[in-house]
Amino acid sequence: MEAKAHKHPNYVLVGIVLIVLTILEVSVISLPVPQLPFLLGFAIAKALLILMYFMHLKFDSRLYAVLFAYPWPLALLLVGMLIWVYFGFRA
Amino acid sequence: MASHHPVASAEIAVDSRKLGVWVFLASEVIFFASLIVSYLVLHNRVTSGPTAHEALTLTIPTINTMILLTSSVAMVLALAHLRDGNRRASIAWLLTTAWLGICFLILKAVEYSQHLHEGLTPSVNVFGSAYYTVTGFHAAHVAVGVIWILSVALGLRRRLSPQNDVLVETVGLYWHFVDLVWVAIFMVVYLLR
Repeated sequence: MEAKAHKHPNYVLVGIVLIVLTILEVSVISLPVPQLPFLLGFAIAKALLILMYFMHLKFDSRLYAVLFAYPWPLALLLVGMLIWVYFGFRA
Repeated sequence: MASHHPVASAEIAVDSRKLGVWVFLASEVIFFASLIVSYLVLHNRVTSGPTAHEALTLTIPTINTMILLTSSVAMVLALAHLRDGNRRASIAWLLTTAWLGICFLILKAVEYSQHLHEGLTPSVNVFGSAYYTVTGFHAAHVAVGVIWILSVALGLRRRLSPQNDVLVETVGLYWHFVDLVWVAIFMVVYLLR
């Protein structure tokens, strides 16, 4: 069977880290610092922790990771196109 | 084992049911990316009615974030206990996950009622439409997840064995993805308002 050879990670610790990152996220918006880089960094860190440990991409077949990564370039293209269209119309 | 067909691999087999869920989640990435980008483009084009900065507060969404993150821990503990052969603990963690999902939905309903009371309706302006579309579709996914988890917990109680852990794993993948989407929504809608 798949993905059963590995010992269980400390899921509670991962959860605590995720909650600490959320507290940092909420705290940073009241600080006089550029918010976007910090918020993006915290959100990406949280997403990676969920994907790697809770969704087991760190331990499972890489095929799942490839499948999940496949639409991201299209999603980013969509983001770029919409922003381009939006600013194009405003200009 | 006839119901699922492992695809050949040197080290780790690939379960067709998990493969199907991952393909579905990949399509959901495009769906939610479209919704979130639409929100980003539209939310600050308000000419009348409440803006994001005026209407949104952080208290309920922050509590909801904690609830969903905690529910993800409960979900993954359900799978870990099932794999360790402890079916009763697995069911208890599944029910905890479902209960936390219901708490999320209740708080979401409270938040919506506050918005409606303050005049932020789906049709008041383009921000209202975008906000209710993004968060509403996410809440609908949470509701589907709760029903799915409860049905798996019921199945586990009746007939499932630790050998069928892939059923818990697939609902877990869906649930964690819903959590993942909320991480993005929380940042884009509530923190970057």
